[in-house]
Amino acid sequence: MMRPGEILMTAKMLVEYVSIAEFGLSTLILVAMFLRKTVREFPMLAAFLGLRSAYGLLTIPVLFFRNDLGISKLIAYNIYHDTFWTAAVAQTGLMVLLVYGIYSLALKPFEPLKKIGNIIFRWVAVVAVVVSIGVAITPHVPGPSNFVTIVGQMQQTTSVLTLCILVFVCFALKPLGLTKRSRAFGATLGLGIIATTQLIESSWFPTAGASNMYSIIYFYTGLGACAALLVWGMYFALPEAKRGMVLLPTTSPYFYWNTISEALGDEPGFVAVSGFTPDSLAPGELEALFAANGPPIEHHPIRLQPMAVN
Amino acid sequence: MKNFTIRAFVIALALTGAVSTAHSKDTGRVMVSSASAYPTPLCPRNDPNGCGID
Repeated sequence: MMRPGEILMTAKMLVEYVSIAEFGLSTLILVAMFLRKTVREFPMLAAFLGLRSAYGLLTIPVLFFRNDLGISKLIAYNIYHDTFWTAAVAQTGLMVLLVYGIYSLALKPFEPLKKIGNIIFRWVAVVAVVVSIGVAITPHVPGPSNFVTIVGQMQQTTSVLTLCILVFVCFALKPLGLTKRSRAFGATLGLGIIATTQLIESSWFPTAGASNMYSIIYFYTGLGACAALLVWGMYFALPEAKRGMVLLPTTSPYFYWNTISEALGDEPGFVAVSGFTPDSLAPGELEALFAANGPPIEHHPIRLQPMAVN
Repeated sequence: MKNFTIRAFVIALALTGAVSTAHSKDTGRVMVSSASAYPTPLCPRNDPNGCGID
C-alpha cells in the first residue's frame, strides 16, 4: 500500500517523464517539418509546435530541476506563472489561426464557397470574443479572475470550433479531394485530440485531484498531447498522398453551394454615367467602337452610350 | 473497415469534447488548460509557497 507522499512522488515522476517526452516530440516534429519543407504549407502548425517547444524548454528546468538550478520556490513559481499565461494566450490565438489555415486548405477547390465561409468564420470569431468578455464581466460567484475566465472561455470555444472542423473534414474527405493520408486531415486529427484533451482537462479542474502542481491529471493530459504529436509526426514524416481530382455528381450539394456562392460573391459591375470621353479609351478600343458604329462623320461628335466597365 | 474506425474515432472525440464542455458549464468554473503535461498554475503570482512547486 503506497503512502500519500509516495503517490505524489510517483505522480511527479510520471509528469516529469511525459513532459520531457512531449518536449522532445514537439521539437522533433518541428525539425521534420523544416526538413520536409512543409512549414510554408502549415505555418501556424509550425508556430504552434515552436511555441510548445520553447515553453517546454523554459518550464521543464523550473518545474523539475529547480534544486539543481538553485533558485527559490517563489522565483521558480513566478517564472512558471508568467510563462504559462503568456503561452496560454498565444496558444489560443494560434489554434484559431491553425483551424482557419486547415479550413482554407480543405476548401481550396471551392474558392467561392471558401469566401462565403470566411464571412461566417469571422462572425463566429467576433461572437466568441464578445461572449467570452460578456461572461467574464458579468457579476458572478467568487472564483477565477476575469482574465482567467476570458482566456478559459476563448479556449473552450476554440476547442469546440476545432472539433466541428474535424468532423466536417472527416465526413467530407472525398468531395474535398482529400484522403485519410492527406496532411490536412492529419493536422486536423492531431488538433482534434489536443482540443478534446483541453476540454477534458478543463472539466477536471474543479476536482480535488487538480489542486497539486504535480497532479496525476497532468500525466494523462500529457499522454493526450503526446498522442496528438505522434499523429502529426506520422503524417509529416511519411510522404503525402497527392490531392485527387475533385469529381462531383451534378446533384452534389457541394457543387450547388459552390455555384450559388460564386454568384453571391461576384463583384458588381460599374456603369460610367458621366465624365466619359473618347480619351478614356485605348486606340484599339476606339477602333472597335468605330467599326461597330460605322465611320465617324466630320464635325459630328461621337455619341457614346453609357457602358459597363468591369 | 479502416474508414469506419477513423470515423468512429472522430465521433468519439467530438462526443467526449461535448460531454466535457457540458460538465465544465455545470460546475460554473471555466478554467484555462494547457492540454499538455505542464500544470496550470492555480495560485496567484507571488504565492509564498510557490503553489506547491517542489
